[in-house]
Amino acid sequence: MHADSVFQLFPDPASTSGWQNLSTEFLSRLNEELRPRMISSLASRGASRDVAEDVVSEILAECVAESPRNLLSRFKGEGPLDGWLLRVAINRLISRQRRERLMEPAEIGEIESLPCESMEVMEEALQAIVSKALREAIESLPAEARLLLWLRHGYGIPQNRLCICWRSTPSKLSRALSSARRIVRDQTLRSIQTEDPGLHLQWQDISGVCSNSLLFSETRHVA
Amino acid sequence: MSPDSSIDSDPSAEDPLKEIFGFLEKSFPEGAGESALPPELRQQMEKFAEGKIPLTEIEGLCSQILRSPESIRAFAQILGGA
Repeated sequence: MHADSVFQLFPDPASTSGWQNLSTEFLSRLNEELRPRMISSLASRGASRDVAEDVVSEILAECVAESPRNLLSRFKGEGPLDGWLLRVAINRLISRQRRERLMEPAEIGEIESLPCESMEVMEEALQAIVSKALREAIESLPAEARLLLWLRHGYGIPQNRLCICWRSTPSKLSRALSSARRIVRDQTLRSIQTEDPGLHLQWQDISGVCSNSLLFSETRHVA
Repeated sequence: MSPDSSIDSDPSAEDPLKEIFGFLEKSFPEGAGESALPPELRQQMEKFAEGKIPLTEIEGLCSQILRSPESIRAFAQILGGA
């Protein structure tokens, strides 16, 4: 559960009755504390104030909607709720602007000013920020740790096989991998926050960005 | 795998890395594979895989292996994972 106090009031996602019993206090704080962050984040991605407020209002309304439209009922409890709702908002914004591009006829001279054009630029910018942060985080590790991560996570080499190479015990190797993962995670998120303070990505978001992008298409990433 | 492995006990920590390294691996250029690997490096890798490299030399060997995707791929093959 998220450390932020507002999320301590969030019901257990496994509870089927929890969604009908959301406290007024939780919803009120969701609105007061999360709404400004979401609007700010969407605005930092080029959304107008009106569009950002519209998207966020739509999402928060779905948080209190009756089943099956209730948005929170789809939250599986994997990671913090605020990060999940933020991702929903960003995806909703992207979809909305793509839809607008398809629906709105445009003169050739107007194409450059269409919202979707800036969205594509923003997606590329997001991918570039994540790519750079990840590369730097991975490359900051000692060679042994980098190779361990590559073998374990890139190629699925069993841990006991790696123990033979390093003449180590499973627990020691496990700790080394955990430590390397923690460094990559923390440094990546820290770099992203430094690069774009308005960007509130969670670690789980990084994989989504990687799976949807052409990150690391250059050849120098392992050097 | 060790029962105390945090990888096993914390799937949420592993999944993003699977995506990331999976993507890294897929983005490798089509190379010449093992044939491009210097024979000396391959011999070192085989010794490494058998646990016969002195601990003081491991860091240096890891740096060599990390210099090219072909080397990492070849080492993974030696270890039976690629």
